[in-house]
Amino acid sequence: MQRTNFKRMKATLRLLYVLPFLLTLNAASARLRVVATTPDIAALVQEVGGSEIDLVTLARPTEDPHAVEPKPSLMVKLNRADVLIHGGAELEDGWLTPLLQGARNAKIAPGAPGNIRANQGVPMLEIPSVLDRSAGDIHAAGNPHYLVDPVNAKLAAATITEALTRLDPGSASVFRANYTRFSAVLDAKLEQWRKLMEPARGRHAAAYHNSWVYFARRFGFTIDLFLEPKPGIPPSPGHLAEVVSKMKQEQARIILTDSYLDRRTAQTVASRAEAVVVEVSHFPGGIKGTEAGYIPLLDKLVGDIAAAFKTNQP
Amino acid sequence: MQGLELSLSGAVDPYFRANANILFQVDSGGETLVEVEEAWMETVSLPANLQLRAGQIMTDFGRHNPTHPHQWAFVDAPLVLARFFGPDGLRNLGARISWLAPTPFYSELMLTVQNSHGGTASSFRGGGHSHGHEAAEHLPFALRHADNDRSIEGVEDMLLTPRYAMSFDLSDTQVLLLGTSAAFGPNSSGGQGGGETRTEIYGIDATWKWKAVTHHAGFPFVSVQTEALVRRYDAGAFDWADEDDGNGLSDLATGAPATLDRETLLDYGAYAQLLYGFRKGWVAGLRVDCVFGTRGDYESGRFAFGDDELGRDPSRADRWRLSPNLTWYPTEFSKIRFQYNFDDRKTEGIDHSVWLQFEFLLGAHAAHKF
Repeated sequence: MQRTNFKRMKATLRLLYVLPFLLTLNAASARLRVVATTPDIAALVQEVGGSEIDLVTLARPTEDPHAVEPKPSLMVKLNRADVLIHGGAELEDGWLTPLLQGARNAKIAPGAPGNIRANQGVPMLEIPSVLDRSAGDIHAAGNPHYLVDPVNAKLAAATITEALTRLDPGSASVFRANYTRFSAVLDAKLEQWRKLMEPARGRHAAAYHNSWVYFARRFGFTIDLFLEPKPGIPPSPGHLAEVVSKMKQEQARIILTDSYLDRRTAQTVASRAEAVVVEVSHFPGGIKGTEAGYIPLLDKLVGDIAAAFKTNQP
Repeated sequence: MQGLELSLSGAVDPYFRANANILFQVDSGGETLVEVEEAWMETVSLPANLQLRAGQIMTDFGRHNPTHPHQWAFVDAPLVLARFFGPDGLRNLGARISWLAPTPFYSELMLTVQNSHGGTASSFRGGGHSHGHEAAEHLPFALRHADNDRSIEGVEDMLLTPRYAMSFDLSDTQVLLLGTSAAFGPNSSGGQGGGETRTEIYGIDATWKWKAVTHHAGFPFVSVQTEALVRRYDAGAFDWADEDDGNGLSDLATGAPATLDRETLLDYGAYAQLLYGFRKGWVAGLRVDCVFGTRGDYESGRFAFGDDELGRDPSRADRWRLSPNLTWYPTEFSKIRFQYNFDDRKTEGIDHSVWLQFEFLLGAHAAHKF
């Protein structure tokens, strides 16, 4: 009886010796669990993190990023995350805030080292001087749709690299190498995209929602007409008539419409203003042929928008 | 005006966040009433997936009770919730601890411990009066006064509300949430020394929601929410001869003051609501409501109040209601709602009512929960 007890004790002791090693092994092989709010941020995180991280995206590419359903399953994903990377410009506030409150994860709580704003260092446009809801659904942090400018995407990728490196120093060399490769591709691509976008230079375009200013500014055209009278406010017939006449005046011949918006309204305006609708998305997978990542998305956007400018000369 | 709600929320420090919802109402006499609907602090970084909330809190029972009126999909509360928890819902001073279980799907266990006394603890020590009976408006619930208030001696004299909820994503666009709740506590029904009278309320709920994969501002969507509740209420013994004002309840046969025995009352109720957000900003809704209770001994027709012979207690009688409505949200900060109620009360007959509700919201985005 005593003998068996002793034996069992020895076995327990042996396990106690092994346990710390098992735990270290586990920690070493555990990859950083990263949650990205929107698919554009996720695409950049994927470029930098590669196979060294486990990545989860909360919003789907086809849906309106302002109004993602705060499903309890998303709360669980946030509960288990090591890092949360979000836009940092209030785009996700309506649904991310309650999810984060329920997630009870101190690592990614606002202000914690694992709560990363992807727009750190990004020069934000349209920061309102006066915050008034009568101006529609505007964001105090500026226009939050900044990642369709490849230069901003590069800045965000650098921020992501810095964050991942800090949180998982063991994989730092991989993250840095991935970033270097991605930014080189981006630089080369930007030259190509600039050339392709030549036909757009100095021209005007309209958009359904005010989410394409960063893209327009980068490629030298202007978007100052919106089908929504104010951001988030549905178009009224009176406003649309005004948009049509201004489009004719400015010779704006294309309307950029995010894939989740009402294409029929855009189509009606386009036919009256002798313009065309270009279906666009901020997110890889938001429109067909862009599923593979950020570069394929920009390839498609530049291709489609440049073609529309070219074939619809004033 | 139904009310003006001021809601404040924010981080107190790195360890706590706070929330307060204060309701201002102007009554028909022009007097302003102020009510603290909720005011609580919550921990931000408790270990082991725990979260503690303390203060004036809405009890986490089912789906409807822990929501503020401005979040309701209908003008009024479901019948069964109004009957069991009163017009203001079940809320009181107390604390709630919740635990997010380490399951692969969402699974949360909550326990709320609250004061069982006061106007917002109907069915418990806040035991209400019967409403809607014209001849005997001041008759107490179950025809007996709530004089049986034992003091707090242990945790069993508090209002205890456990709840368990779990949720699954049925597909990319469909979510299901299932929950079960219970509320236990003492009630004050009956005369002094009327015995250990207690109330138990049990509920189950299910919510299903579909949101299009290409939704714009959350539209189109379809959601179904349903809850079923049961209440077991001990009505304590009461002798109307002990009342000294002389005009109480009398026995119909003898004319002597009525003597009510202790009895257990069972009530049931359920509602189901369907919402269809058919285009941006427009939601059509339909709600079916019912409540019914087993006939108590005190409802057997043996008693009279003054010259009124008393039968079925209107506050426990069968009732069902059908409510279609249409809501238009010009933006997410304002709404206009039109609702019709077909209301069939077995003791009073059928009522038709039409409601028009207008609401606006100032300030930051209303963060909305699932």
